Amino acid sequence: MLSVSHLSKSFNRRPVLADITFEIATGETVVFMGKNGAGKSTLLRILARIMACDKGEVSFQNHDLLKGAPTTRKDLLYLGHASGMYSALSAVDNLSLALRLRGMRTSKEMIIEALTHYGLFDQKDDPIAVYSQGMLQRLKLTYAELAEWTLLLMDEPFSGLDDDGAKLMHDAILQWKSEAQSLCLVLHDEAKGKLYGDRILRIENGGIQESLCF
Amino acid sequence: MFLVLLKKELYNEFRSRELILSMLVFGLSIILAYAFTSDVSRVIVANYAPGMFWAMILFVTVLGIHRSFSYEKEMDAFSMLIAAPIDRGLIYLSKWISGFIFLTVMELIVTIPFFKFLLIDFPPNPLMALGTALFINLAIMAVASLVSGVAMRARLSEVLLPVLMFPLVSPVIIAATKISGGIMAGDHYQLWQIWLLIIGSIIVIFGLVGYTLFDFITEE
Repeated sequence: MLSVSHLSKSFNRRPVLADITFEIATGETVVFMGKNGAGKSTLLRILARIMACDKGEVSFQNHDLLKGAPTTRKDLLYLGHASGMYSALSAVDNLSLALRLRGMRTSKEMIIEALTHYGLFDQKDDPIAVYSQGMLQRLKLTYAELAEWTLLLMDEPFSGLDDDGAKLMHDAILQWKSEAQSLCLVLHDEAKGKLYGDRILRIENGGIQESLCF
Repeated sequence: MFLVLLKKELYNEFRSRELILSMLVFGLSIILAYAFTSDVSRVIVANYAPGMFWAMILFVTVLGIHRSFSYEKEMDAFSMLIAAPIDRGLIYLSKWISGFIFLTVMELIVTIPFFKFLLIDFPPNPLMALGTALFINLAIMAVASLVSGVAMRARLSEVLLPVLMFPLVSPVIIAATKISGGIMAGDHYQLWQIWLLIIGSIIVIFGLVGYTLFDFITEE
């Protein structure tokens, strides 16, 4: 499904990712781990084409992701640290916009139903500027639930979530795994990495130093 | 998809009301400063009025376009936008056209106070003045949207935006001053049409460059 070869990225001539090569199969969950600043988020942002790499190739569903047409990233969904949405708009408006940008026409009722499931019904019409970190994580989770994708790139999915929110995220990840959807997760918790990942790729000193398979 | 993006820009501004409001307050403040400090005859003020007007528009544009891109940076919304499977050139077009709409609305509101406070006569041909102003606004925003796209990914975007924008938009402001001066003086179209052609060229060049390059300049 995803093939990354010889990918490199430097910041101010300091290599963060150096000659990274790995593959992700359909239905596989890969967990990226590593210290702060190791390059995990950078890697995800390059795969989502938010950040340019210095060299290397990325193939997604047998198409060149870095040089291909915008439609090549149609089945790829990136959820980063931040919510990736507009602070002045409500949750309903943000989700409606985000889904329209992915070519989906989702009814307001369906969006509200998903927001209700993730505990955001009461705040559905509030601007998300007033949301807490945990509520923004729930909003991202709702987006992932509504959007169509085959590979999800998610950076620190459990960050800021309370126990209920963490349970919802846990259930969602297991649900996606059972549906054979591919996941790329950045996690800091080794136990969670082993729980969700089919493989853990540890990024250290710019390269993938260790690959644990379960 | 362009209409979805344009609607997003307009709706975002409708909900926040930050962009036009800040442009308007700043524009009116400059007019008041002009009015209370230009202690010269009406003839001299009328001669300098086109330059004063477009200089005000230049500063107001920097303020507006910076706000238009900075709310993309809040909560990293721009990442969601460019990661979406859409032609990124359309993002540039939506920023350009929405900026044009905001600038035009702002101009329509400040024009009357500008003429009233500076005690100068309205142009003899208001329709021609309006038509050329719309054309000039398109050119200003074509440049400003491209420059903002380049600057927003930089660490010092607030500094970089005016440093890049002022030199690039200067030809537009010079041409705009010449055109408005000609219209205010009631000159024949042929006397200032060359400046209109320059504006047209800038619209075409920056529009095409912006649409084509936005795919690359938006990546970090």
